[in-house]
Amino acid sequence: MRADDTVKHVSMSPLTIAWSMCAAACLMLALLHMLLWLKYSQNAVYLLSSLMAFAACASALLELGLLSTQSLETYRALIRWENFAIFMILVPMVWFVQIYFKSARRWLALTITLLWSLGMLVNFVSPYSLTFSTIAELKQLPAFWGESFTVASGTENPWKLLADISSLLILVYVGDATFRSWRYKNQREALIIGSGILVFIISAGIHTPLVDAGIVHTPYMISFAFLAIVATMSYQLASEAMRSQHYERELQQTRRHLDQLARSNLLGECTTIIAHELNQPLTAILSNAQAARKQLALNGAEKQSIVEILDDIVRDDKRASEIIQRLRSMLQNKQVVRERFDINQAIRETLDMLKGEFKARSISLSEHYEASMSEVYAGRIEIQQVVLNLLLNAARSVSVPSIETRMISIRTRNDQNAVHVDIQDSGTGIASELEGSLFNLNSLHYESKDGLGMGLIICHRIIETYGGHIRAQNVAGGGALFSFALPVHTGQFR
Amino acid sequence: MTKTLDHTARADARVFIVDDDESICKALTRLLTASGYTTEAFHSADDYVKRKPFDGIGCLILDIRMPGMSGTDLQIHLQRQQSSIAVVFLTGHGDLPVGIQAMKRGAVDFLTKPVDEIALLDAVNRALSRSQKVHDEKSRRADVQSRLATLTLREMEVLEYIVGGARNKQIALYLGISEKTVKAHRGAIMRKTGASSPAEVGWICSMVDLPIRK
Repeated sequence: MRADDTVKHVSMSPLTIAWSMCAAACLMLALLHMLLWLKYSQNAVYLLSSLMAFAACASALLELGLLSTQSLETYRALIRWENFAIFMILVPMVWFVQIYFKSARRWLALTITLLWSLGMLVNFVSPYSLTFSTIAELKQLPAFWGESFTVASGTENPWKLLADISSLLILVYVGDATFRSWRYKNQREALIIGSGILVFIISAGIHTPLVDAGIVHTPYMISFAFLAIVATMSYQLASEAMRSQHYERELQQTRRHLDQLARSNLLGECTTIIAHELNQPLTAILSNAQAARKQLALNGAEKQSIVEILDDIVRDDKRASEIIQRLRSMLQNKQVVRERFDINQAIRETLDMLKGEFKARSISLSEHYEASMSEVYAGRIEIQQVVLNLLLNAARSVSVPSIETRMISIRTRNDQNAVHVDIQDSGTGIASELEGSLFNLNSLHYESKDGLGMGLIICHRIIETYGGHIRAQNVAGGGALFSFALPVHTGQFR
Repeated sequence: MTKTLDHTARADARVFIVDDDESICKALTRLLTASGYTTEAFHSADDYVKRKPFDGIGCLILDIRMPGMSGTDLQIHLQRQQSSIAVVFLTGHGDLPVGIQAMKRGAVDFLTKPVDEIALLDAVNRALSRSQKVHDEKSRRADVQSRLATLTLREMEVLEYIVGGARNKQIALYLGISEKTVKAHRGAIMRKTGASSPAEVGWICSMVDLPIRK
């Protein structure tokens, strides 16, 4: 007997176990959603669902309190807070639906929020909460498994109508949003979340009056319905988060490929230019060598003239190897190293590669370098690639037959925080439909014909990587101005 | 090789080089000089245009992409002047459409850099042959023109009828002169133009655009 008594004393009641577990589950989901929100902070649905789950956890604990208390005073306090917990579940849920289903009706969401807020005002002002005007007594009812639980009986607060109406509105609101979303696009999401909410709210809505009427002998189980709703949301949100992570990985991979493509595009373009430039010394070398052979074949060749020819051959050979050196240093595919460097010098080197090309295309180039430029801390070759890309674009834009003055100007400026580089041309300018979205992946298909778009997207990313920004605009009087800025090296990175 | 000698033997045949690259001008000048040609080099098309127009047998080795006036522009310029100089393009950008355009406008060849001496000298020779043909044609025409210039107005009239195929009697009727006078004019025409038969008179006249009367 004693042993039995002890066991009875120690074992927890099924009510306590069930409601505690419900609270624990809600808490876990709340924390999970909070984590998701911290990761994807731009997405408010995670915050809202997390709030809901916290409130559902509170609601479960409050319900447990209500079911087991014997004191009227405690009951009165607990039911006030239980109502508040329900408010804190329903209002975030309504806004969750508003954000998640973009087709939900906003005015309904606002009306529900307003009604429930009024309800809360009544809840905390009236003596016996929103539910009761007066509480006559607390009854102990037996559950079917034998345990007894507390139920209050009293007169209903007429203001409870506010809550009833808004509950009805929630059904209409969620039903409408689900139906519209289901009809238009997000079929699966709509069915899972929408019908989840509807089924559990309706079942709670049926169960509660049955308990009220004394037909079903169970406690109120509102927090279980909410647990089910939050769990449904979790399922949906978690699978979406997983999918988006997958997409992100794929996107990153695509970006890498695009980068490579753009780089090889740039390489191709540079190779053409270099090939042309290399042709010059090679032509001179070949003709000089053949001239020397000819002179030697004619018996009267003077030693002095052969020496002159050989000197010229040596000079042209050096010229050729310098050209190759420039190409190699510009396009080597080795790991990008951040270093401190003078941007003026980097630009001059890039221009060296293009000067021959500009000259051949009759493009006049004006250079204005600010004398005392601060150093930047970035990938030198990458920045040179950006400059090269912008200069090639400018050259292409002025090489159109309709353009009469072929001008490209490059200018560097310095202010306290940043180093600015402006590259302006007198060319065709930027097509008006592209002016805002030139550095955007979406604009790619407009310009893929000459590979222009791709280069600019890469430029954009390179500049952003080093904390700078790049802009493009048309210039009054024709042509385009591309400017980028890089933060001045302050020395604190090293 | 014999062809080369043909042209290099002529001191008045000239090879012009127009290229913005100084090194190339120098090297080509050396090579062509060593091959026996008389050369002149220019660093831009504009510089070439500034020169006194050359009217002899000439070949122009021409780059296309140059600051200022392009090689193509210079070719068109020479065409307008009805120059007897034949053009050989020598360019670093051997792109097909440009080459086709250049050939259509009458270039002798379209070479790409770097060029081998055999290909270059071959093109230069063909260009000089072409130039010589054009030049000869031009001087023959000038010769005919100068001979025709010695005819009197009346003789010109008679000549125009002769080329039109009219008989002496008809010409006399048309011009209201005696047949004998027509015969005398005909004799003067033969003598002044140096033709030995009426057929030759017709051939000579075909070289210049003479109005024909019937």
